[in-house]
Amino acid sequence: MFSSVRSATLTGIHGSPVAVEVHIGMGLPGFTIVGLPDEACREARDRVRAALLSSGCEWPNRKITVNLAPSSQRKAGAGLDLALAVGILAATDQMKATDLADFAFVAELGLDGSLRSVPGVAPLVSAVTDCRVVVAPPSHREARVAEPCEVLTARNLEQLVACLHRERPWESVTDDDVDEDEIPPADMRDVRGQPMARLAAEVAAAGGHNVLFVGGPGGGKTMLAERIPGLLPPLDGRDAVDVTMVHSAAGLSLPRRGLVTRPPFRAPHHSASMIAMVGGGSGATMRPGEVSLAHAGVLFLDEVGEFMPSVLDALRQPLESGEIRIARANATVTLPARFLLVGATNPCPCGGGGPGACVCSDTSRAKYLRRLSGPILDRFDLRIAVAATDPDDLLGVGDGESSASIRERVVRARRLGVERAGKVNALLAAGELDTVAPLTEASRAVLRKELEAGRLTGRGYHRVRRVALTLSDLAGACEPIGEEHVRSALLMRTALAPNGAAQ
Amino acid sequence: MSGLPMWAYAAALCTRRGVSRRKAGGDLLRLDADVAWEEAGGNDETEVAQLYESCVENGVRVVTVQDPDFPSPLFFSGGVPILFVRGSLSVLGQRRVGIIGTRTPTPSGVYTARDFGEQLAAHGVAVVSGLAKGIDGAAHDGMRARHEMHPGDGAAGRPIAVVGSGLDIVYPKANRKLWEWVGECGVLLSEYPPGAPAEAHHFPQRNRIIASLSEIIVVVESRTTGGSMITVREAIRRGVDVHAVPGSPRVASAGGTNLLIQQGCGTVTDATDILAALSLEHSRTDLRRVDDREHPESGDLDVLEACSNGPVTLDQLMIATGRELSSIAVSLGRLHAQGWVMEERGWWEALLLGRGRHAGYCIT
Repeated sequence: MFSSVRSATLTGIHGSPVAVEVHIGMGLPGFTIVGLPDEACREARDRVRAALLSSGCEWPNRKITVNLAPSSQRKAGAGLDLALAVGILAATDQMKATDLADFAFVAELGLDGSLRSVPGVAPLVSAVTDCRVVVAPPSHREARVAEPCEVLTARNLEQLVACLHRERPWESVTDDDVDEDEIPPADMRDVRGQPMARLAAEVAAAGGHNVLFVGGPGGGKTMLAERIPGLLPPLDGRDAVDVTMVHSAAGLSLPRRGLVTRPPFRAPHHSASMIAMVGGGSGATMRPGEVSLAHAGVLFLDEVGEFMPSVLDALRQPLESGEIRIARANATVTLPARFLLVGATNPCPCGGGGPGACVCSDTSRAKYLRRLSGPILDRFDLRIAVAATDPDDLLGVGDGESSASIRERVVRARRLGVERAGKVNALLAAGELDTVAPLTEASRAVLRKELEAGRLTGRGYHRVRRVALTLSDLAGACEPIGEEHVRSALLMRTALAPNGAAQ
Repeated sequence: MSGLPMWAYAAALCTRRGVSRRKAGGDLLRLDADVAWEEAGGNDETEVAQLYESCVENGVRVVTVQDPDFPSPLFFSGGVPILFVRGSLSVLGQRRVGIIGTRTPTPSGVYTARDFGEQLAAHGVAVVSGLAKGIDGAAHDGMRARHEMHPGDGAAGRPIAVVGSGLDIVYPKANRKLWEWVGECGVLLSEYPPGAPAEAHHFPQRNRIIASLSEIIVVVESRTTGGSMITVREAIRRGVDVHAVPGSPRVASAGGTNLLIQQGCGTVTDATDILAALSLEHSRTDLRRVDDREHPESGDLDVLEACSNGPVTLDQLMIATGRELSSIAVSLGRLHAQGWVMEERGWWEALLLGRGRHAGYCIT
């Protein structure tokens, strides 16, 4: 009359084990779920009942009490359906409880008894250790990301019962259909001309520098941003698992291999709400936001000035610490959020163009720039003017350099940075710069002149030095940093300031 | 009658609602100001007293068509019965060139306007302008540079600014220092009493005064529409010669000046041309002052050349020269320090003075 079945629930990107306890006793026929279920969880009653009946099982007309332990933690989603169904079968002796001892179940049930996948299978499966986990067939690869569980699948409840009773073998899922059939990522080869923007993308990828593209419509800002992830090295072990967990928890479709190895690219629209951006949301789920979905990849904010100021402000913590802490009354989660920020904006409401071409009034231009200014503008190491490509370049023969060939340089430069200081150049602290990235006398003189002329602020000074270091790494130059790299770095943060004052 | 001066009544008359400027001017020529004011329906002396006080407070003088030192060009062109003045009207005795242009110029437009201002100051020619952002301000700023370089040069040309607001309302605010300097060194003129805000409809009227006060008008950079073109139209109506500085056909803010040239107005590329248009002695040696900039290094010439046909982006520079950013960066840094190029929002432009003066190593 009692059974306990193992499953898991999701908070943020972390699964935690849940025991689904089913008790069937005397009393008026009824069904109660306790243990802080959310709405989807509570509705499991009707799905499970229909699924059992359509699978040829019996529904006990007794008092059914279900407890989701630990009962003080909120449970969300339909992932507990299957465990609940199996628990009822075991409690009514339609299945032997001993068969269940080393199994866990993570799937939603259809009314016809079929198993369906739920978001967050990867973290859910990793929460239940030392047992075999049954998931819906589509979740199979995702579940295998969480080593070292054994992952089993069944198409529907009927088949599952048969397998558990050892009346038929578990369906094997083969791995051999995994191949590189995914759409290849956008390649830098398609970008014609625009040598500055290409270089900026390369520098951003190599040094982890946030970049702001400034230019009128049709300049190819979005096109460039989309290609930056392709310049980053493929995700390695720890990052790949983190990214997979986040994407799984958010219910994004994962690559067929299961593990996400390509740096993600996220481009939320500027109407994005605070919660969409940083994560959270009502209920117990704490869905990861765009900053986490862009973890280890690129977060692209088109029309960055149009985002709500509070949303932009909220990016500061993740930009500094590489993670985001979301606190709610009954849960606090920390999600990874280390991303490369790529912004795009028009120089003014009319789209600008060369000097003397802008037709905006002073006030409207000042208003436009004011929205951009402040803390977020400070985070961009690179500010690049992107003008529409010259038709000659667009029509000219020959593609640009391919992403793969740029990536080789990026990987080499990144390795230099990591060997030197254990992190990418953009993350170097101001205090470290003198020891890690000394300047030549000539470079120092250049920077001094810019500072004295008021074209560079203290903060900008450090940013320029970091970018210069990356440029020097890309050129394969040895320390100290030469004048040409410092001057180039200065040129790479001009595009926006009205009178050439680089912040 | 209280002891208020006549000019206060004149000011009250001219700023009275429902009294056109033309009518006010006619009345002032016929009658005493206080009588004219009463005829126009004025009966509240406190109104006059207030105007009087705000003028005195702000150091603003009032001249009307009745006054002997009312600027004669305005007297004849009509429609301007009164001027609020700060500074010395004697500046109007100098030769006067109006320098006007867009509020959103290119760096080279600014450079040209400054250069004209500086050169004309050196040659004792006054510059009439509107103290607006961009070309207007740059022309007077160039004069100021000359005055600061040679303080105490009594013969230097002085600034004449005609503004569209009360003389105590600085517009645009960014020009405050320049505004004050003009008031001290030259003369600030306005049709509007102290406290009057800068309103859009004031400016076309202001432009008519600029056109009237100038012997010739030089348009440095202008779009095909805008305030400068209004000034040009007014100047042509008054028989004032208009000259324009040619610009690149690819720069929107030179569209108006190029159009003027196509339509046959005089071309000015150098302060010498302006002096010639004024029939002034223009062969004095110090005009052909030696360019004190260092010669660009031979390795930087390709970059300078690429910048010399209007503003270019770094992209265009990289494509045109085929050089790496790092090497262009060094060249640009050097050229910038030497004063050969200017940068604005990522656009670079060469600063070449006048025609052919540096032809040897600038333009190929």
